[in-house]
Amino acid sequence: MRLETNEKHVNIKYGLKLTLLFSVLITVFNTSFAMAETTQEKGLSIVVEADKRDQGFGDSSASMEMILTNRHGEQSIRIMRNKTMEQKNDGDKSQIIFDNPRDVKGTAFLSYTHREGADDQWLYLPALKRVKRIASSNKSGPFMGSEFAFEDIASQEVSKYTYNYMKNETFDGREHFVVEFDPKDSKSGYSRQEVFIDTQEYRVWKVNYFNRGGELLKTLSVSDFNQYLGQYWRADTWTMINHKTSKKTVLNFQNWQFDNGFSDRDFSRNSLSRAR
Amino acid sequence: MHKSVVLLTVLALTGSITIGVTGELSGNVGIESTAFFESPLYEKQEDLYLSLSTDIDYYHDWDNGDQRFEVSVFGRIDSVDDERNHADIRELYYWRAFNRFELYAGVRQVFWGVTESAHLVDIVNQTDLVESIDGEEKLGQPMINTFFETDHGAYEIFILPGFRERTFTGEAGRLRPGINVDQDNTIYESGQEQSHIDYAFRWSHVIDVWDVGLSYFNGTDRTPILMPTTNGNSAVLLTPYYRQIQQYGVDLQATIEDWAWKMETIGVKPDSDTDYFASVAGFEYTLVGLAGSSADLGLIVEYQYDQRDDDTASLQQNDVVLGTRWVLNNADSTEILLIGSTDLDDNSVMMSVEAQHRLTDSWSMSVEARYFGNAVLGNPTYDLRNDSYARVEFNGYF
Repeated sequence: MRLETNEKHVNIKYGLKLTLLFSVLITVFNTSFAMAETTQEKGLSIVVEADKRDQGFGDSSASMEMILTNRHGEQSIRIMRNKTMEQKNDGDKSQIIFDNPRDVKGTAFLSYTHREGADDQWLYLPALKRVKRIASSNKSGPFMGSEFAFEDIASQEVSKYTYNYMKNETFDGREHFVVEFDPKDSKSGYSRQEVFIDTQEYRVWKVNYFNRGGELLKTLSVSDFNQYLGQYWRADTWTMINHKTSKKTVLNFQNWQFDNGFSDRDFSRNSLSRAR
Repeated sequence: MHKSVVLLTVLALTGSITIGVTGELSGNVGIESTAFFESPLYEKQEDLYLSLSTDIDYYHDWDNGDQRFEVSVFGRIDSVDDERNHADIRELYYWRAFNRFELYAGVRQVFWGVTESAHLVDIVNQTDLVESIDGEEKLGQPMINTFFETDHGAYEIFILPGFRERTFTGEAGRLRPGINVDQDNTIYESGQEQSHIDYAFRWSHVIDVWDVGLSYFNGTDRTPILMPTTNGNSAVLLTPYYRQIQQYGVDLQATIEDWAWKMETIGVKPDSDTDYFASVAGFEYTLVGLAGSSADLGLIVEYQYDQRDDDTASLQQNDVVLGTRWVLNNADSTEILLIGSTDLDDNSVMMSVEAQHRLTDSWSMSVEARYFGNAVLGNPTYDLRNDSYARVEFNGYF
């Protein structure tokens, strides 16, 4: 699937070259050629470009603080650390280690995302020294009691959705593509997502999530981007608001690090028991 | 404690002076109260037991995370049962990573297996039975083990010097056999007794939806045979007898969408007794987002079979287990596990509820209740017929 999208991407590039060569002569034709691109094709090409710009980061790690606010304004805090390693021919491997609340300290979550089919997930329970494989179909469930679902924080793979370009929209002084993401997996908690990707750097700034009944369920706002290794953008603040429950979760990332030199051993099922 | 362990600890501590170290001290204190619903069967036993426990953990990483020293100590004080006053080194080991190879030396806890209602393949650590009768609390085991991960699975070799005896409830404790266990006159089949060096191998691998493990153990059985004996005062006691065995184990889980299919089987060859096998198999099916909520409901079905006759130690020889796991997915991580099991031969019943709920960032509470019913004379649960109980524990973390 990734190969296919790459080929598509090459075709788009080739198209751009042609456009440059003949731009003076065939402006009219070129315009009509662009018009011929369907909204599905345009949506896919935007996502493929965004994906391409994030490829090759190798590995990353960060600390995460999650602030849960209920409808009465009461807060509780989760503290976690996260490690991710890119895979050549598959989705990323990632691990989350919990530090707070203290009763879950030492719990570690490992996932292998796949381009096709269900992801593999394991959980390490420190009290029993036990590593448990867990069903990955539970992707629509809340993550640590927050307003984020597992599928909201999991590694996103191009092949897991179909796309439809909707429009351009400007906010906060930036222009964005608005692309509809339709999950292929029937286990997803969403009928669709509206994803706002800026036209300059292809970063996701906002996502509207629609539930299976088609109603607006949640809105994610992403901010405080920094660029790493001169190329990769990472946001420090993710704010998820649930419109149905008025609950809010803010996820603050700190201490982003790249080139950690992680190996498969850092993401093995057996190494979970040592993750701290 | 073994000399090798002490030496390694000293080495590890010396090593920790090196720069680039990370480490942390953490732990918890537990306050527990256990109430029994029915009058005790034996004198000295009471209706209410209170106890305090603590876990203290410290670890230290250095050499860019390629070396670790870890120590984890547990202790409990009980208001009534002397045998529950105990302390144990759960872990105290040195770990080092080489290129594709890892080495552990010291005291560790290792868990093998996949099923919920029985832990057949899990043989490395001795059960700390005074902590819980579910067999999930374990004593630390001295070991040297290597870990080698390849594309076709992980290979582990365990050398296990120093046998740990199972802990048993004392005379004043509840949940004990009608006849007291004589913990001072344990008998071993091996002339080397506790110094017998056991060993084990394990291969484990993930193949698509399958998690597979094959294991072999050779040494002193962790489960003793309780033999009625008489002491000098002609009182009848149960003397633990530890045999030499070989155990072959298979554990298998297939995780497919909302289903987790699980199986554990062991074949046991005692040195001087008849071979037997035991198996537990079943599934857990999860109803995700129950009735439009964010709660998940897991349905657990397992069947336990043991080839041995009823008169041996196993409680689980022809039993069906039904359970539900209710996970609220709320901010307080509330979880309830309800399990019922029945023996198809004698209709004895055991029911248990385990629940956890977070109170604050540093306090949590857990509740455990068990009911023993239909116990008939001759069944091991007959001794527990008056011991249905509820236990509440508060844990504070630091």
